[in-house]
Amino acid sequence: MVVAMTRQSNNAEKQLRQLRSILRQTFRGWTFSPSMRAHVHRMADQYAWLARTPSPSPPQTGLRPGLRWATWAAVAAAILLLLIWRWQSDNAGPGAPGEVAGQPAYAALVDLDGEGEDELVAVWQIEGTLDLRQVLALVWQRQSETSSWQLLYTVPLEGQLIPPVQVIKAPDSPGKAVLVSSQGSSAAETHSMILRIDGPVVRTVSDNGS
Amino acid sequence: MAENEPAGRHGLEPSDTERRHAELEYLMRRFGDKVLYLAYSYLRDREWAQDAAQEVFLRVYLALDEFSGQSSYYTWIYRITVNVCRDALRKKNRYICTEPDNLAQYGDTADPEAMAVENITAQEVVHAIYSLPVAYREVLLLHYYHDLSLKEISQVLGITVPAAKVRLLRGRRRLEGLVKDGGGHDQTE
Repeated sequence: MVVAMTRQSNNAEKQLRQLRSILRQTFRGWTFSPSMRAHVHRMADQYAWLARTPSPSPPQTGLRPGLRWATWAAVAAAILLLLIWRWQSDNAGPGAPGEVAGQPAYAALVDLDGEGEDELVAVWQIEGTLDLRQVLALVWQRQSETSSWQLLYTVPLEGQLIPPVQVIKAPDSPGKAVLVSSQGSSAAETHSMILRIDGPVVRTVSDNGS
Repeated sequence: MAENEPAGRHGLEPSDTERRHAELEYLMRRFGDKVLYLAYSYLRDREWAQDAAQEVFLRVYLALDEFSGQSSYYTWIYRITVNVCRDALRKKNRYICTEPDNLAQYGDTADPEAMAVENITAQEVVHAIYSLPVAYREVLLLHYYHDLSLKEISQVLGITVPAAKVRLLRGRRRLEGLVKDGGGHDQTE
């Protein structure tokens, strides 16, 4: 019994020692081809500006270096958009509040369309001096050709955000979905919204339950 | 690594770009196949492995200046490969469901003469390795195929040397079991 096990173990070890020649034969004809190398050079040219950007300190965000500046740019764009939206809300009607404050409640990179490249999802909590309380969700998508972020979608939700914002698996798509919930004027009044990408468009499924 | 040329009014960027491309080309020629095969060991899909390998070298290119020289080039590149593949698997959620390709398509097995008993055994071993959970598969391939020491494996995978050793022993044991059972399909990840 012991002899048989030892023989079996030696046999596996012998096979493993020959792994290189076995795999070399197995993978024969499959190489990192000149066309693949050329493709990498082309991609490198597209991203060359990233390589030349000095990075004096290691990233603190946990994001890939290529996403760092672009993410900050997207966040800046979100703030700008929010200011515009706020300005429009201020001027929407007579007696509109003079002061509206907002704060970011959630931001994350989520693969909404299931294509491997993450989308940027942000949720803002807007509060006003009158009864203006809203949640604003924004979605950006990265454009692979230009490496820039494009704002895809904004959607408001009544009430005050109920954390946490949850990333959930979309049942009928490889992508993920984001669940945002808010509380209305009374504690019993709640709203929820599922944010997802379906093909080329962002879709929301709202539940205006009470 | 070559030093940057002095900053000239027109000369800096083109020569720097050329230098970087030349370095990239050298690394792709030297490590391209190994990166491809290592990516395959994770992804078990030829097209996917090709995409991943290209992304690896794009990341290498973008991080050339950050390579400190504290580890060897191949340890650094293998580490990037492992990270790219793990990211890809996580994003696609395919840790469990990916079936290995028919490996025979890359070999010379079209010839019936090649299907000798020894080759069948070899294919069984290869299939058994690719059926192992990724934690064991990566260690076995890095050690026996890519010839990395336990210390280098620990650097590539970001684990301790004893952990690498334990994984290697367990991987070998599971492989022995699979080969004994005829190269079974252990899909547990």
